[in-house]
Amino acid sequence: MLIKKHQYLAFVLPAVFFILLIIVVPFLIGIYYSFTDSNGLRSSFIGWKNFEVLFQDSTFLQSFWLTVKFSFVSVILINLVGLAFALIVTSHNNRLTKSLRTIFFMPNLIGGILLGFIWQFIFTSAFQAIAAAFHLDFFKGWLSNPSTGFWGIVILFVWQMSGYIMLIYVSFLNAIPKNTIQAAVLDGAKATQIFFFIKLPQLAPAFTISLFLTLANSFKLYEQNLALTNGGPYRSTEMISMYIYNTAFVNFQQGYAQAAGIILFLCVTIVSFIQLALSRKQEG
Amino acid sequence: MKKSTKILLGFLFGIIALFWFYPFIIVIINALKGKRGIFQNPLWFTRDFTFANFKTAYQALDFTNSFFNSLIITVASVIVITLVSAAAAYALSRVKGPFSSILYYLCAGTMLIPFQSIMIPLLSLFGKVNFLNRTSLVIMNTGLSVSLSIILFYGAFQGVSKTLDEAAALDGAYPFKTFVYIIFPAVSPMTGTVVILNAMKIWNDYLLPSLVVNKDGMYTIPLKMYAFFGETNSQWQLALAGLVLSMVPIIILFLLLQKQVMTSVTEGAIK
Amino acid sequence: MLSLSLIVLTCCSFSSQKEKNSKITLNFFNQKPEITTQYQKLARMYHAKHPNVNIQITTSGQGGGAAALQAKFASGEAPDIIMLGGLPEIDRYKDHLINLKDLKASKNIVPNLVSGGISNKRMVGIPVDLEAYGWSYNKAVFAKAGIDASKIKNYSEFLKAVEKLNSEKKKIGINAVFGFNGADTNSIASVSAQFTSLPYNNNLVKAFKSKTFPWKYEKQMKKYYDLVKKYNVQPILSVKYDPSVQDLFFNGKVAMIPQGNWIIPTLDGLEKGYVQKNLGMLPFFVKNDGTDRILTGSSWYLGITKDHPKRQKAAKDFINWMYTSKEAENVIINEMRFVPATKNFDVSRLPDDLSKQIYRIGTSKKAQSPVHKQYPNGFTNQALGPYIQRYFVNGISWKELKKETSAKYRQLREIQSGE
Repeated sequence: MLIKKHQYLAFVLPAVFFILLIIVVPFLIGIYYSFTDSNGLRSSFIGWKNFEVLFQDSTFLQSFWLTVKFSFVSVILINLVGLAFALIVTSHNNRLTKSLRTIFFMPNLIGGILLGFIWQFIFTSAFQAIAAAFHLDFFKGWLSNPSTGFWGIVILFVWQMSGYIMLIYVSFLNAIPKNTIQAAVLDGAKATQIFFFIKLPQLAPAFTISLFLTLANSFKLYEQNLALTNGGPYRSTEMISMYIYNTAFVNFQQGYAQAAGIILFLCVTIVSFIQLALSRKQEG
Repeated sequence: MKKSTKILLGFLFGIIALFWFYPFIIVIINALKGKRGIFQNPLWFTRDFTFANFKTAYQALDFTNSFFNSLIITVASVIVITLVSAAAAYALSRVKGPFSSILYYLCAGTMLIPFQSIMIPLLSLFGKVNFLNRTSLVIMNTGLSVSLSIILFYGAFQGVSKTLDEAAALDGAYPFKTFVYIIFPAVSPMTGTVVILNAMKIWNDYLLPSLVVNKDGMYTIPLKMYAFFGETNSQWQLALAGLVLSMVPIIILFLLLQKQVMTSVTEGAIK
Repeated sequence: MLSLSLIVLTCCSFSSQKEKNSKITLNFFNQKPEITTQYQKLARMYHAKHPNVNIQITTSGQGGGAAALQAKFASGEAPDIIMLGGLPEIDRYKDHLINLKDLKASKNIVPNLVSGGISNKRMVGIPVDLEAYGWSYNKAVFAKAGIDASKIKNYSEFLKAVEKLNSEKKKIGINAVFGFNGADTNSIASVSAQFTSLPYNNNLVKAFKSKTFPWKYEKQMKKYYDLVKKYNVQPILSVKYDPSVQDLFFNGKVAMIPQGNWIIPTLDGLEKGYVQKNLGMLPFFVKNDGTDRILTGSSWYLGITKDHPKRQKAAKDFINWMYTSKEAENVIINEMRFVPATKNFDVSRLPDDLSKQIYRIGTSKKAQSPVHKQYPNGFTNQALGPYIQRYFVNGISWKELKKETSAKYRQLREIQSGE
């Protein structure tokens, strides 16, 4: 053994300290909180009441289903667009595709708050101008309507995440041996055939990674939601993170909000275990 | 492929890219206008052209201060995260045993916990002892980021042959010295990845800073931008100028380090 | 584990607040953004007289105030003087607030408003000003339609006027009768107070303690909401506060908006003398028996914290100066355009007739205080506002609205009172 015990501890203890202090301890306290009626100042134990009330709280249920719906739609769209972009930027190797890669990725650099404001401008002012110029009612009042407001957040999120997911697909596409594709071309295979029979099977692990990466991110979405619609109109676009925030820091129902936080944790955990099982299966 | 199809494809791709990039363009264009210009036509340039919005926005955002707050918080957090997680990952990769596996699974497990599930108790814990400031924000950032960073570093250290350690030990070097001078430099690409991933996350973060340093003199760029947006009262030209200012630093940095950033982001996702 | 973390944290945290004896900086937390500059002026005036005292004003409004205040307390930077909105907020910070009963400034408070600053029988808040709630109407528009506002004494006459205005829209040049800003939950709440306040009869503590949302006047409430829905600028949920006051109302594009005298400084800021010429107020006819008046009360109360004992006296002195000196009063009535919340005030000194009228109503025996500031924390923005907005766009029925609103009201109240 090259590292002695006290040296080992010196290496790992700082990390252990941070993880315990910032994540584990609050998480345990959080589990306790979810069984109290804490309002941030006083609290007493109330058993399962928070969870019982949560499942009858129409606002919570609505924002929960909205989050599920949002995750579902955006996961599909982001992966489609990301894959399409990956195919575009790997189709040739020249200056154009290189700058395309940069452009497609760029929105991913910007923080959620800034993204939300950018798109708020587009959906209000720019869309309004298009509506007026071409007399298209389709472009009117996007953020003051629950369904277009929802799609507004989806569009923003697709714009932000597609470039990121593209990079994952690109790295898997690049890992496909060049001569496999060349051999197929020599055999007279068409581009579509190459895609479906050679590239696509190789991309299976990339799918799992991208799918769950987008899923986890969309479940936790907050800042984009805040800056774009702030939940409006009438809380119809308020997703679960924002619900937790508002309940805890606006209504001061902290125990209740924490119960919602625990439910969010359970959802993310279940999703992650499904992912783990799936990728084990792929490897096996 | 025929040359004409190639050109056609290139043209098509160009249009898609332009469409994708247009939100940035529209923000810049309208930041350079007065209120009336935005009203007339927000889609393209109009007659009124001015740089004045930037000056107003710069002052209102207290940009120099917000920029340095963001910078200090990001740099300090990234340094602590990198050191703490590299050290731990090194020990994990060299000493196999129950404690190491427990720690590894602790890292993997804590990565599952969404921030929203711990923010309420975290805040009340730090609030109880009146410890909400830039220092505590750095501590929280570290706690929230070390798990992933350890796992990334762990993979990299696995790839560094143990013969290097042994050779150093034979020369009489202590593990600490071996780590600092030999092993840590050997994984510098991964260090780059960890730095970039965390820096991007922390620089852009809003939710945690809004709970911890939402007060005069400590505002980061996203915090100040959010507050400023509320104050502009639908005066888009000012809000947009503020947005441009806020985006400029990270975009410049990205253009300088493009390749490294994109590899880091990919690695962070795949590993 | 928890106590260990607390110890660790305490060791890490160090407060470095050194206060010099001679110079004092008072932190004043303001939640009314529209009068920040005037407060700053008062601070400068006070500093000129008392060079040792600096007053730092922090403003946070538009819904972010409660969270910002919470953050200040959480971070150990409790302000010395706080503007608090209603008893739920006062209750949250009651342990930090000192009794103001013996303050010179407290002696003169209009009696009706006192209960809005009471916590555990201690007077911890004094009202900022006297505000009026009703329909602000544009006199010029009414005149063009040939309507005499002073003749409108009950709901059916009000309805007739609205219908007349609507039928002559083109002729009098309005887009719609009402310019209600449906986008803002705060305005929705203040309108709701017209129908929820009477049962409490000025006992704000009772309103604050109530576990149920009062539906006593729901019939009239629904009538008014339906009327607004029908005759408002559309889409109603896109109308925001600033455009509704500064454009729709100011430019005579609508006849009425449900706002009070807090719009006075804005209107006169756009055109000098506008208020005296154009602004009038009508009550909501809720009892509809001839006794209805515009509601008068105070949304905001000032309190002093005990977190920084060394600065308490300076804070008291400043508040006394604001409420009793002539020079401060000049700024308050002529620049902030506040109607003072003090009794025995010489009403003729107010700069416009509407303010005079408000002072008379507010200090009369029949004055009625609105109770929307006593709703539970978050109720306005998270429940009542969104449900009414849904109702405006036919998203839910009145019955559902009642059910959801009542349930949420009770739930929030129970959790916040710790029962």
